[in-house]
Amino acid sequence: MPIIAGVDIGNSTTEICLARIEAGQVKEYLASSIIKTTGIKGTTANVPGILIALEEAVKKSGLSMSQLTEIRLNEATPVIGDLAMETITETIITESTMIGHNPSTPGGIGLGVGMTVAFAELGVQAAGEKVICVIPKGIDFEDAARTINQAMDRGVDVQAAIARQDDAVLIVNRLRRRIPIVDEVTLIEKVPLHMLASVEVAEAGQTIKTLSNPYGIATVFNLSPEETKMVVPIARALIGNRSAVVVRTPQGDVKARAIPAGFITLSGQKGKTDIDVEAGAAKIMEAVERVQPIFDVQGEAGTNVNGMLERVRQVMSELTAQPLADMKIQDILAVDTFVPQKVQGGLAGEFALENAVALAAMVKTSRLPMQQIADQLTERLKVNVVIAGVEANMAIRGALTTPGTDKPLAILDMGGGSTDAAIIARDERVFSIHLAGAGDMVTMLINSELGLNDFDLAEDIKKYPLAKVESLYHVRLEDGTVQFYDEHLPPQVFSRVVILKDTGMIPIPADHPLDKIRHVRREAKKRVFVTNALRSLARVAPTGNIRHIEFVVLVGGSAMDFEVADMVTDALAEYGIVCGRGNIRGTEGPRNAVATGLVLSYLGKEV
Amino acid sequence: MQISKTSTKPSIMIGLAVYPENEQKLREVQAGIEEEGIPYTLLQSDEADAVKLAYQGAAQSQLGVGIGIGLSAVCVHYVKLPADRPLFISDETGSRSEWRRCGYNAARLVKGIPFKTPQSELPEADLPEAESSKQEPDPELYQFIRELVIKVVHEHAQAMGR
Repeated sequence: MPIIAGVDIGNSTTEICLARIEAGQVKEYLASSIIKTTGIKGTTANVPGILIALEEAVKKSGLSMSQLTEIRLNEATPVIGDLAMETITETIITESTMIGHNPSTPGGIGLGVGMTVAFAELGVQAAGEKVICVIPKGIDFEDAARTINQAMDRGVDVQAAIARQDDAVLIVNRLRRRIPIVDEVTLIEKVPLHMLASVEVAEAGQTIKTLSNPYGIATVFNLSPEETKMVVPIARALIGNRSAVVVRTPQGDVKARAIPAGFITLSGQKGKTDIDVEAGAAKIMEAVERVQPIFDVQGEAGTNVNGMLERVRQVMSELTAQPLADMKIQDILAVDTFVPQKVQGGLAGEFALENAVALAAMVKTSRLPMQQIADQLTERLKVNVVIAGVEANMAIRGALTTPGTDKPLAILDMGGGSTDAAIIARDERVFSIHLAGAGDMVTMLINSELGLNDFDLAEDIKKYPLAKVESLYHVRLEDGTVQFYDEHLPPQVFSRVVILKDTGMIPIPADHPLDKIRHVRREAKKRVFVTNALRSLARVAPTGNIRHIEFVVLVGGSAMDFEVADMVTDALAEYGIVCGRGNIRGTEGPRNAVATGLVLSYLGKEV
Repeated sequence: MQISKTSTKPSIMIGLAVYPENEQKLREVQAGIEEEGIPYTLLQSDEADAVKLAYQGAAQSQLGVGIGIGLSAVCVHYVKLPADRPLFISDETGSRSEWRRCGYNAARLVKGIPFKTPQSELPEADLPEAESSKQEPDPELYQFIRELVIKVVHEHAQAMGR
């Protein structure tokens, strides 16, 4: 009665399936285990992880290591991926023409137009002069209010004010005449003085109407039609704000500039083509489809994309001890995205949404040094170790243990670095393919689109549902249901959008509403996983037509995600495909497909 | 404790220990609440403990939010919290920006928007009040070091003289 252990070393997890074989059949599945992969997949650094996972499984089944008959390792697919982001536009404010940071509590209501003057100069302004007072840091709100009141008493027409500290409401409340004040302008010393300017503050809950309208700005500053054309970007940048400042300077402008990001060269079976990265994701993917299957991708020297592509090659070449020149990039996935970036020349830390292209690349080589792992394992455990065949074949065998499946069957393995698809025909022939872009790319998109600058946080947003903390005792979940707590919640989560992890709540520091974060998360998943599901199934489909696939089983780490499987199922339903999360051996869910397949492959060998 | 006539309208209750040096704290707390646009009512009290003052205030406030300005600390409390576990409490040696933040955050609790944290004001760390609070201990420190140096020099001189 042989006891067989199937060991699947994946990019992120190592999985074990332990089974007793009798008379050419699996008599009993003894145990499964799963732990984090130690080291990069396919290197001897994996051995400690394999040992821990094996011990765990052996212990669960009440056996000892010496009772193992054979350990079967998968021929891990030598695929790795990497990511890059290219920002292709940037916004620049020249000559500090506008302030549009939207502070939470501006003061007063209305529109003020006048010359900008320093706070210290207010005493020497002549009566009747229309001015906008610029209050630097260090001025107390009572002093500021008193000085402005005195100037008003002398007949100076103080139209508005711009302040450094969060004092706008306090100052306005102490003035004899209410004027609009924009506060929290961090770089107040850079506000151009003795220039005609305009300050607008809308009522609470409303947005500005004059400075967000090109004709409004033209009216305020008496602009010619030519000049009015020039202020369109300024007006556009201010749409949706409750407060704003526009300064009329000789050369002042807000420019949206395209950043040249270089081109990539795709060489494939159907030819060779160059494509500009700034053309956008749609054009790049069109080019990929035109020449696919791809043999290699080169980036223009000196660009970020090239750096990324070289990095992938480098890592893979070190991993496999094969020359760098042999490392070919076999697929790229481009996704259009946007990145909130600090506006250059902004006075108050304004952000603008810039267009960007996210790229994932994938390298596949001939073979990983699996034999070394096998040798080390044999030495440590004195057990026969076999390298048992291609990962995709094993995964299919495992997936077929899902109740309700039948050949021909396709699997979609959505992992962290790549999306893999394989199909088995009625005559047992297996065809598989690997595409760039999976879970890690989703994390990158979430990270950049929300401007988090925190990969771990983005990873958590990807994996867990959101909630909004509505009081110190209750939260509202994504679907609108309310959850109460006995203990009061910590103040740092109050009124914030939080991630509900099993270990507790993590507040998201950015000011995005829940709906926005949810939208970004779901869109990122759709743009990567749904796109890749369709792309990969079309490639493995026997006729090239995705409709000719009947059954699709989703396996791998990202199939565990709480919404990805549903999204893919939904998208594939349009093509009349039965698609769902795998349930390996009827018990394991989408996990353990390869490990189970490895055990099953032992039977085929014996019979 | 005297309760003013206006205490029935919704407002944040500020419980103030009558103590001359509390003027500064009160001013900053009031400024913080005013900037956020929430009404407040002032109650003077013989109580000196900031947490108790704040909880009493919260219990009387129609908004359920109270601020206690005690002999040393400033405290923000919410009526639905346990009496001994206030929402925020300032250090003994609180700074003006910290007291102002107590005002902001009491108002923000009412408005239901995220609290201001010291980090969220980091770019403003160079605020004048922070500077002035930094400069305040300086004369004392200077005096202390001066005395220390004189003492050491004296001892040294005596030792040499002997």
